[in-house]
Amino acid sequence: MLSSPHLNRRDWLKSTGAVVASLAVASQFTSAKLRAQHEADRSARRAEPARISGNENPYGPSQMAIMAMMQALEGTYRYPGAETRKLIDLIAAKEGVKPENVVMGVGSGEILEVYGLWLGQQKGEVVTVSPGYSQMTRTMETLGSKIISVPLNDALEHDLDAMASKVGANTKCVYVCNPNNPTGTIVNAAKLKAFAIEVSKKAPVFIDEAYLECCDDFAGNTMVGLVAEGHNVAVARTFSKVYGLAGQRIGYGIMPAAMAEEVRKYSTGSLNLLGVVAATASLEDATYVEETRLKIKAERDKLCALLKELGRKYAEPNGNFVFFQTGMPIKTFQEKMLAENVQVGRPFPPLLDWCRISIGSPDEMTMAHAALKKVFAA
Amino acid sequence: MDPRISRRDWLRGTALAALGLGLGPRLRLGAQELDRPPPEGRHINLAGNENPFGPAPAVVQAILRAAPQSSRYPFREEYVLKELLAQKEGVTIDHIVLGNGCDELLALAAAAFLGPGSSLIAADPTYFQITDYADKLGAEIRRIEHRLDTLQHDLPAMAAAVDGTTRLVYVCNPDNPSGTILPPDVVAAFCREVAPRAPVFVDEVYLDLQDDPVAQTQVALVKQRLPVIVGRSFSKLHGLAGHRIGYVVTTPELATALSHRQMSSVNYLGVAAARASLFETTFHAWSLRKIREGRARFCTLLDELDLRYVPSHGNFVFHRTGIPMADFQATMKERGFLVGWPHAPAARYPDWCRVSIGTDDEMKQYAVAMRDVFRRPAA
Repeated sequence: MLSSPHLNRRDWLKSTGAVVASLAVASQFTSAKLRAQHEADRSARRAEPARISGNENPYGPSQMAIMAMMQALEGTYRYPGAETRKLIDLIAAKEGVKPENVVMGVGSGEILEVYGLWLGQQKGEVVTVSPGYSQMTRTMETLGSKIISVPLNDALEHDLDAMASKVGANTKCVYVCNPNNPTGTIVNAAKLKAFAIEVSKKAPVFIDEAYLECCDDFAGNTMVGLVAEGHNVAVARTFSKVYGLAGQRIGYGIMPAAMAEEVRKYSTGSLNLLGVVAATASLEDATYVEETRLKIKAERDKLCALLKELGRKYAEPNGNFVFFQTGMPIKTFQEKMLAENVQVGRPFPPLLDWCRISIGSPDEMTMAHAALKKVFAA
Repeated sequence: MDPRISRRDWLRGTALAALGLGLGPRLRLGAQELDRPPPEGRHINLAGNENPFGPAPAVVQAILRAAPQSSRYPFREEYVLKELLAQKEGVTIDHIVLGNGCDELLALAAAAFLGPGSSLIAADPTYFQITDYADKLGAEIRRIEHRLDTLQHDLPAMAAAVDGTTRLVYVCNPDNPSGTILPPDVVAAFCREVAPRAPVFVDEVYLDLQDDPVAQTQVALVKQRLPVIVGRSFSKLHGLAGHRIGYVVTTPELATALSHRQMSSVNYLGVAAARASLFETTFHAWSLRKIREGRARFCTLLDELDLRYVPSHGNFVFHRTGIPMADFQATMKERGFLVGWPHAPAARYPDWCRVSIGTDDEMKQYAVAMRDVFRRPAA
């Protein structure tokens, strides 16, 4: 049953007896202690600020992922082994590569770190953008590598020509986050492909596609095909974003087998069973990604419309977040928003009067809209 | 109340058992079925030092409640867990580092202190995580053979091996795979002597399987600001191996050194499970009793089969088989069991095997296989 990737989710839920389970869980609710706990949990959650700061996805995880975790509960005393191998096989099939091309990580963050550890020791240069995501480049820097930061263009997009011009004999890695974090902008696919093929002749190109499933055309933009074609390219993905499993810390990298073997050596992490089975079920849920992408897009569009109305400049968003100019220091803006019970993104220097807002649940976004209207009212 | 009953009731109550898929009883192998090996993935696994009695029912409920929140990073929840652990250990929160199992913390300690030109001191044989990672880092590993009479760490020899290149010392207590333990005052004296020259990682992941872990732990040395790192895990007594939660108690300075190397975080549901599990002492007492009974029965069998072993303080027993390890593993796999560990056997123990204690039922079946292999039908 689980092995069919095209199974309709409703059928799947029915077939696994989810209905029975949910009724049974509900029957537990007759205990006064549990009712009290439930009420306390709900009250606590209602009083919490809207946390739209961490690029989490409140629409996740997939119901199939939750069911898979429930089914796996009995086995959580075990280290995951066979389950991880099954996930790797599924990922390899989805990405059109072999299992030896897949490096699993405790979130894609671990992939960035181990990759940075591997290359950073060569104490060369890493070419990236500013502002950009810095987990890998910082790791390389701590090992004595030099970060070459290329400013984004006026539309806050990668300037690939400028990046290519910085690649030299001492370049050990070129890092492209696509869509970029924190700006959310995406690079033209044809240009990126040509760039990656050309530049990867001189140094490995690492393309971080953590947010790519949130954009309108994933298939047309992913560069994973370059790995299968044998280029010196690595692609990273995560289950933390569109799959809504940030808490379970599962990500992966796709790269040439020899590179994968090197990179794996530096891993210190280890995957958890429920994360592994949830990720597996998420991949088997045929409709989840598209449904979730559309929900995120709907809220993202609404937020952009509001920002336009409020006269705020924003970068063209392709992830589950929007980066916009507040016209005030980020610290001031954070405080003003927190006063409205909304927690927004951290500072992203050098753009210190810009802010990143993650797409939260509809309730959280309602709070965010009201807060933005109030903060920008004057 | 017998926790077995409440657990079964709970499972029935939530009808999880009715789900069938993934929850069905693991393959039961009767003696009559032993002639046919089970399909891949359906073996009885006595190779992982896991705790088959699992987490307490309340922990499973806590996970169920938390499951919809697993779309969130566990930053705040981690903090709460660390506070609880600090309280339990009698230290402040800056003494605690959480990891993806104690394994991550062992690797981080290696990463923080070792590299080419430095050395690690460890017993031989002992648990392999820290030595494996040290090896990748290009450090020299000084393996000090344990005492051949008792299979305990040879602490005087380990102390003598410390020199100017030594950056880390590893003591596994209780030890894995030997299962031996050292008296707390002996370990403390060793740490006092050695730690001023190089930090000592005291791996206590099996210590909570003892009667008096509080009296045996070396956390007191941490409180005295000695550079000692005490490793703990939720994978053993707590039965939460799949959630990958471990932690260390160490000085704030060493805690910072380890955190700086950290590449990821623990997972949301693991944190929820660990938090809930800290309060399940009654269940753990039952689980521990089951493990000990299983271990005692297995040792009685080894006596009967005249196979040498050392008394174990872990949820496993290391014993002689007289059969080369790979052959013994293959033999047992054919009979439906996974035994041993994922490494070549120690040079001195090519025909010894580590067997983890399973459920009563699993151990009964394993006893049948053991008798079959060693040709001693039950009297």
